[in-house]
Amino acid sequence: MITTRRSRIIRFLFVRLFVSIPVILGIVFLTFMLIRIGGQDPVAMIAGPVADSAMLSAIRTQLQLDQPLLQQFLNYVLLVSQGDLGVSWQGGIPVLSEIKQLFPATLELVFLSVGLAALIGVPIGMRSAFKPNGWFDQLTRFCSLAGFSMPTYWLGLMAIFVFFYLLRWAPAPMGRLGVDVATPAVVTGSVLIDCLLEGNWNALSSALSHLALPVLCFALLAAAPIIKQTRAIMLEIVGSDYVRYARANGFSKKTIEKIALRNAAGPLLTFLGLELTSLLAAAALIEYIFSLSGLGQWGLNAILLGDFAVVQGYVLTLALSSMLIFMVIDLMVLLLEPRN
Amino acid sequence: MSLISIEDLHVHFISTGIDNQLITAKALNGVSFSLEAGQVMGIVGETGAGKSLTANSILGLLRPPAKIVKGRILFNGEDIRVHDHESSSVRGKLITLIPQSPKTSLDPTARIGDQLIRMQVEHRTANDSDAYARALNMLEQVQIPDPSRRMNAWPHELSGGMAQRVLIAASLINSPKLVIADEPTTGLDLTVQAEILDTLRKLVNANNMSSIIITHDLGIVAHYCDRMAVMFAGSVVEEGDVVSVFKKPLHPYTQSLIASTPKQIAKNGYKRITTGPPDLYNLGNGCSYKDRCNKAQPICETSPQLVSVDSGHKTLCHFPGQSTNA
Amino acid sequence: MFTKKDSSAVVNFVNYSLGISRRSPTFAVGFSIVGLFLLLAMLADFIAPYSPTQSFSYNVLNPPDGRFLLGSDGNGMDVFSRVLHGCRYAFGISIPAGLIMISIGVPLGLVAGYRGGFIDEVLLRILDVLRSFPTIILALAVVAAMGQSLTSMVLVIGVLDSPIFARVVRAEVLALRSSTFVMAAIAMGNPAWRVMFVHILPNAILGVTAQLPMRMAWAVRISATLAFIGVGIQAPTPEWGAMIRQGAEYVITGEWWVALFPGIALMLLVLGFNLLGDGLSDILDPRRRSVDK
Repeated sequence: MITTRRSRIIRFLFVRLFVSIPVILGIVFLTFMLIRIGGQDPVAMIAGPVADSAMLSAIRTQLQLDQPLLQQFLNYVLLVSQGDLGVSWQGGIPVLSEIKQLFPATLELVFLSVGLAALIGVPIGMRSAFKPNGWFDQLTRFCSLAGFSMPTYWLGLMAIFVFFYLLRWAPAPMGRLGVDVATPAVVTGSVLIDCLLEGNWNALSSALSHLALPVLCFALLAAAPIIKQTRAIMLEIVGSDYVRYARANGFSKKTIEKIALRNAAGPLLTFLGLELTSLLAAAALIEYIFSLSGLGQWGLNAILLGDFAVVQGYVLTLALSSMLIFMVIDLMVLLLEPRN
Repeated sequence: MSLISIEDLHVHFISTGIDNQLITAKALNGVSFSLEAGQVMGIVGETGAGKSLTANSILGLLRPPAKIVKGRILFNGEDIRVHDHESSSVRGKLITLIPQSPKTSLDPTARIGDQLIRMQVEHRTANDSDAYARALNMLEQVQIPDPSRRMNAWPHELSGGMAQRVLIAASLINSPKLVIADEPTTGLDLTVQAEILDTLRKLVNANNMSSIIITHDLGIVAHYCDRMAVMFAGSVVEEGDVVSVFKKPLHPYTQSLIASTPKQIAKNGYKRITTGPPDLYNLGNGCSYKDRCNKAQPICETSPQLVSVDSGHKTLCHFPGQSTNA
Repeated sequence: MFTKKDSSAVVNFVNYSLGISRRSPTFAVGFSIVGLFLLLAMLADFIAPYSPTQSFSYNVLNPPDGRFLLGSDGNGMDVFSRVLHGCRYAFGISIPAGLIMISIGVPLGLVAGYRGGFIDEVLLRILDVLRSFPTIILALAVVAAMGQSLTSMVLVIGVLDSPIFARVVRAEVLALRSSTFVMAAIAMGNPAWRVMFVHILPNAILGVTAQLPMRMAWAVRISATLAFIGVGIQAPTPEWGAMIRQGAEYVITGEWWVALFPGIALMLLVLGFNLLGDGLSDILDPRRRSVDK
């Protein structure tokens, strides 16, 4: 059977979608069960301190919390497939609209950070691999391990202390825009893009200055695994038969580097995709410290309070995004590799 | 003046053991041989004898912990000793290599044609417009069927034999003076082996190049080479014209090698060797072959001198020419 | 000249230490750091000038000075003593968690790699889910659900990291399963369990040993992160994450020492574990052996 490239791509997409669904269902199911089995009793939280037992049981029935767990889960899945993600118990805000509003902030932070981290990390990792065990390599290995070991939130706190408290360079870590700046009209939800679209340079610079410190901290820490993995990938390539042959042919250093880079693109992209997904979750801490009103901050809060629908919505969003990222990355790699 | 002449080359691997003591593996100990223009030399020896290392030294591909500690490599009279990180004037242009594993030596992300073009552009042997035509021509010469289509092929689409032909093409495309083929027939089946070597010989002769074929197969040396060098434990123990060496092997090791070919075994039977390969970390003084040699005398505790028997036929032995199968 | 046999034990020891350090300086540094912290943890009671929960109400938020080496926090407790005692918590969490990881992960990986089949499939699915699921959130949810206690945190961390450990074991086992000596063992009629434990396990352990410190580093990190968010550890327990949490409030008002020192301690210990693991794989895996210049 002769398969054309296009048919292989289409088949890949289908298989991917098919396989993702059980995984996502599994994740949502897990979250669903975990948060209900836990010790938090949301009913008491909603009802307030003065409710009596009649009110409590009434609320419980209304929220369908007295039904068997499996039944609750199936109800939930049904609602989600219709686009209804439920309502937060803090103020009754619909979960879906909150996600739409808050997720862009997280995306801004994560994409900027990963971009910066890759920009720094990949060249450093490459240079390290070309001269393994030289002084540059030892230094970067140490620095990247140090980056690995630093807690994100701690770095953020220290950065706030130095750059805000001591130096007054950075703005107060409260939100994405200064309080005295006009917010742009909401188009995409991403403040940066919306400001650009509107030509609102004032707000744009304010937004950028508020993002500077968190992105810097986040990128610094994200660079560590990128450096380590780039180095590992590169090392393997540099020791390969074809690089040895290229050397034997007397190719210039630049040419050999180009050969190495072209061969590294696939594994590197795959890894960056993984990093992206893990950073999406880790962003919660940075958002918390810098009050960036992102999805993570909101989700974190909800977990602590036991706000079921919000937590489920948060986890679902993360899981879906991860799946999407993996799919896109794998597709890109598929298209890149001449072996396909 | 010889095209290439190796003089007393010593290469050591120096590293630190886990007990913080320096350990040295003496991989090449005084390798010397020479080759004239237009000749084909075969280098034979068992694994670990230092054949590939010699090739790497000539090309200047030695990386730490390997180091050239003594000796010279003269190419057209010029000393071309370099280490891996230094650039070389000869690599890829005047001296080229046909490596051992054809399929993995080609860049997986570049088409065959592009790789051949790259070979020329890197060494500025052709401008962009000519490079394509020359690459195509070269593919024809190595007898790859349907060369114009193959120019766009990816390495993984080729069989082992075809990949090897491409490598031969790449090694010859810049018209080098010397081509080194490192075990060019490993992993190929016999019919393909013969074709590959025939193609190589034809092209080398047609362009008056010299060639060094590294192999452990005496049959290949007998059929395709003019001169041969036998290596053992990092030294050339015998060197000479193929005909003379086969007719009258001077060194006990050479004699054993020749006696190990199937025809000879059928005729004379065989004797088992009881020692393992020589330990390059602890070579000791004297002849490196003495542990295996059944003619060893007390004098073999001292290093043998190079003895010349007839013109061009040399050996490193105290008792050249005495048969071991007496 | 002294040969190795004549040298004294001390000289030999120094030589071997230097040799190993030369081979992998990362291992040497990591080992020293972890060793130091372990020592501090064991001697905390003796070294700390004050009890970690003793609060001096008139000395709230003192900057570092003669009385309070690293300052005092918002409750008037000595930061230095609390950081020292935090070592005990760090090891008290990571060591049991590590043991859980090994006891679940090794057999799991062994069986999955050797037998394949159902267990292998299940393991791979679990790994798939974990890969897409933000582990931090999962840990959070579980601990939040199971209540605020140290035990639940240890359990969760240990169990959650086991699949990752199992994956490493599985990879090693897969590689060994097709090796000649294992095939010989099977051909000689050894029962499956014997092949697994006597032949494969000792060889797989080597590749896996380097992972353990890394996992323990992660355990320390995530327990601190959880404590920072406010889960699993109650004040006034002197756990580093909890201390940073308290310090966060004071950073904006300039009392930097409350958050800085526990953070440094945390970073150093995690770094130490990571260096140790990295160094171990350098030493044990011959393919990655460093090349001398």
